[in-house]
Parts: sequence; structure tokens; C-alpha cells
Amino acid sequence: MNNKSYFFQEILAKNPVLVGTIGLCPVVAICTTLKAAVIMSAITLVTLVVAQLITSLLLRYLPQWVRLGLYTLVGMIVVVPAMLLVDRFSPETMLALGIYLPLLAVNPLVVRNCEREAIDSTLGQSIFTSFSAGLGYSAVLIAVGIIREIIGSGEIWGYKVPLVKPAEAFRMPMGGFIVIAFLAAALRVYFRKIDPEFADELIENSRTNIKGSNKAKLALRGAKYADGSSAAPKQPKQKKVKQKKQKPAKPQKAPATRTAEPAPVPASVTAQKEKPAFEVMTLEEAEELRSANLPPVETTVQAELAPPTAEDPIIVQPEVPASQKTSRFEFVTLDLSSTAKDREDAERFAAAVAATKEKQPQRQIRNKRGQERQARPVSKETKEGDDV
Amino acid sequence: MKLVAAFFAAFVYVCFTQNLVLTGGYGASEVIRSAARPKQIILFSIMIAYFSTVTSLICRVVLFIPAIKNSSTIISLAVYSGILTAVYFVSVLILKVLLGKSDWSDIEIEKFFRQTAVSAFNTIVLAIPFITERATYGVHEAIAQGLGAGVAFLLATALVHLGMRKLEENTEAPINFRGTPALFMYIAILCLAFSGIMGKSLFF
Repeated sequence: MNNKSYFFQEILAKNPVLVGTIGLCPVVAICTTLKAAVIMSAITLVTLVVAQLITSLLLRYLPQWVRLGLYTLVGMIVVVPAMLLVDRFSPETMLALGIYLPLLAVNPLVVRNCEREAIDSTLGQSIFTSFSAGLGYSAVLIAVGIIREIIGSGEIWGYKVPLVKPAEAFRMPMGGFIVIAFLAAALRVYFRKIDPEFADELIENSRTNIKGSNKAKLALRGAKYADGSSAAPKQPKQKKVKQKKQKPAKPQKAPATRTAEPAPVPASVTAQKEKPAFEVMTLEEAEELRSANLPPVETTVQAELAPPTAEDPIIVQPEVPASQKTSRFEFVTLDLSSTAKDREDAERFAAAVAATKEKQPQRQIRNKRGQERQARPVSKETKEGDDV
Repeated sequence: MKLVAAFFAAFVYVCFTQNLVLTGGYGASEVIRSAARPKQIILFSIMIAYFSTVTSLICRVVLFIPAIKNSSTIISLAVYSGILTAVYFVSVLILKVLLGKSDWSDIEIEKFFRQTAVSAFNTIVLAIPFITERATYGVHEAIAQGLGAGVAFLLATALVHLGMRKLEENTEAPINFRGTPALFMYIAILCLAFSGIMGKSLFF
């Protein structure tokens, strides 16, 4: 993909209105004519670039709460001269735009763009992104202006369009919403032709956006967001605690009473167990987990080491739901030392394991000697000695 | 009594008859964004009501100065933007003092201030002083307008949220209309309904 088509794709794929649902007020309220749309586009584009420039050079060094307050003043710096120009050259347009023109000073598109791009990017990058965002916004404004002027007034730039009966409704916000709905759908049709995967992603992102689930949004692949931006999410960093991988189920040598009398699990742990599986837990949660009465390590080890025999009772474990299979509280159910009988069993198993461990080194030494003997060159003396 | 009646008339007019969001399109993107986060709807609406009421009141009081009253829209924009920014900074400074003593973590405070800024610098908030000026409302009506803006925002957000939930369940929509385009269509129908209340002619 060459630079030209990349820029074009950037304008469409990250479109603030059709993908990001931002800056809708001017689109649905004022863009009823092509002339108004062109004026609004020019002002928005200049505001975006100037705000980005000022943010990159000055505002990025200020705290966020101060910065957010100053964007309105930055917007005003651009909008006031623009209003003077429009008032001078086209007073009737100034009247038609009414109070919507001054409201461009608080365009959320400016704030969003500056906060996402100007703070972390270089000056050149931020200017490029603001320019592409502004062009994307302007394209939608002009398209909406043309369609609404034709359908709503039966004209285009003041000239009558034949065979069109004007529908007043299209000059109201209702018409604006209908037009951008069709434009958003058309954008998806276009992307479905050139990149079906991205079209699906767009649909999935917008559906997730509607659900409002941040967790689901974060789970979406890549850095694409509902608004199509690729900026890194500014979220509080959580310290990750690696979760113990679940081992495949092994046959346990344990009496039936162990499964019949499960260990009493603390109420807090039981409550959390009902939650869906977690992959990440905070340090506080880890501490809480540690403070819960967990089984002694030996007990767990012996349950795994004990080989099954034919006499062992077959224990049918209840089927674990898929959502709980990766739960971090899973090993709490292996607590085998809750009752006195269980503890006795546990001690017996521990003794058996200790005995096995003691035997192991001797076996290893024996095996080692055997290997050495085989590797040694066979001499007469040794052969004789061995025979002895 | 006249003042109370005028207050409620202005309030009802802004909330229901001329819902600023659904008939004027003010704050449309904020409505969609906050409707997607149902837990924050009430808080966000309260913040908008607060900023629009305080800003509207101060701007109305400032309009008693003849030089400002007779000035052009450009001067009004400068004055109103300045007042809104000042209200924001004062509010944030007060909140900083109050939240500094609370148990909130720095991340929570930062997030709260972000929401505060979004609710303050909003077309619906800045539009209220302009509407008050153009309609030559009094002080009590300016307060009603500010409060009404918050309630109008809440009403619009609740309606959009309900629609979002229904649209999410709908699997019969054409694939390219699922999500945002369907939502835009739904809001268009809501706008149509509120325009009907205003008695506007829709076709021809």
C-alpha cells in the first residue's frame, strides 16, 4: 500500500463520526447545506491543527486537568477570528449557523485528538493525525451537507435540483442521523470489499461499544478501538500475578470421605469462586488468596504421587463448568487436611513419600555405578576382581 | 407565583418539549458515549446539570452589564467560554481539596476529573447561556434552563441506553447496519418523536 492510499485508508478507518461517533452535534444540527458544511469543515480543520500544535508545543507539559480546561480557550482562539471572517464575507451564513458556530470551540473531537495523539507523539505525527482526522470529519460534513441540502431543500449550493420534492424532516437532526447511519453502513460495505476482516472488526467494535463493557473492549484483538484509533489505552496498570497452570486430572488415591466432606472454604473465597475466571489479579487479591486457609503442600503432593491401584475406590468428580476450570481458587478444593481422619491419612502418605525419596538416591547411585562399569575399559585385573 | 410558574415552564420546555439533545442535537456524542456506560449516567447528568446551571446563572448575571448585553455573538462567545472555564477550574480546585481527604486513589481521582472535564466542556453546557440570551430569559428561567439541560440529557441518555439494549438483542438487522448505524437510526426515530411534540412539519 503506497502512502497515498494509506492516508486515504486512515481517513476512512479512523473516521471520527462514522467510526468513533464523536463530534456529532455540528453534523446533525447545522450541516443542512453544502455552504454551511464547507465553512464548518474549514473551521474544524484549522481548529484541530492549531490545537494540536499548541498542545504538542506547550500544553503537554501541564497536568491533564489543567490541559482539559484550556482546550476551550484554544478552540476559542481559532473560532473567534473565523466568526469575524464569516460575518464579514457572508453575514447570511453567520445568521443561518446561529449559535452552533461558536459551539465549535468545545468540539469534543479537538479534545480527544489532542489527548490521544499530541501528548505522546512527535509534532510531525500529531499534525499528520490531526490533519487526517480533520479531513475525515470534513468529508462526512460535506457529504451530509450535500445529501441533506438536496433532499431537505431540493437545492445544491443554492441552485434548484429538478425532480426533487423537499422533505423538511431532513433539515432537522433526525435527517442528520439518518444520513450518517447510511454513510456508516456504506463505509462498512466498502471495507467488506477491500478487507472483510476489518469490516467485521468494525461491527464487533461498535457492538462492544454499545454494550459498554470495558472488559470486552479490552479483549478485542489488537489496539483497535470503537473509534478506530490505535492509541495505547491509558488505564491503570495492574500488576500481574502468574496463574498456576491447571494440570491434567490424575486419578487420586484418596478415600471416599475426602470427597464426601469437602474442606470448609472461607466465605470470602466461596463468594469469589462464583465469579468468572480471572487471568489477572491484583496484589491485594493475591494477598487475600494467600491469607485464606490453603492446604499444606505435602498433602497436595502426596495426592499426586500416590500411584493408583486396582483396589482403590473410583471417585467420580462432579463436572467442572468451563468458566471455573481456570479459576485461581481451584486448588482450594484439593484441601485434604480438614478433618482429623484426613490429617492422619495425610501424615501416612507423607511418610510413604519420604520413604520413597530416601530410596531414590540409593537407586540412583546404583544405576550410576552400573553405567560407569559398562563404560570402563575392560582390563584383566578388573575383570578378575569383578569376577571375585 | 409568576416566577415559580415561569421557572417550571422553562424547565418543562427544555426537558420534554424542546429536548436539547433530541431536537437540537446538542451533546449527541456525549449521550451515546454515556449511554454505553449505564453506571455513569446519573453522575454524568448531575455534572452536566451543575455546570450548565452555574454557568447559565453567572452568564445571565453578567448580561446585566450593558456593554456585554449589546455586544455581538463573538464577544458573547469569549465571555461565556471564559466563565465556563473559570467555573471548571474553581470546581476542580474545590474537588481536589475535598477528594484529597477521601480514600480515593490517584487513578480514581484522575478518572473523575476527566469525566468532570468532559461534562463541563460540552456543547449542551455552552449552548445554555446562548439560548438564555437569545430568548431573553430572566435569572430564574436561566436556572431552570440549566437544570432542565441536565434532566434532558438524562432522559435522552436513558432512552438511548434502552434502545442500545434492544438493538443488541436484535439479530435480524442487516450485518452492515449492526451496531452504530442501527443506533443512529434509532436516535433518528427518537428525534422524529420529539419533533412531533414540537409540532414541526416533517414533509413538504
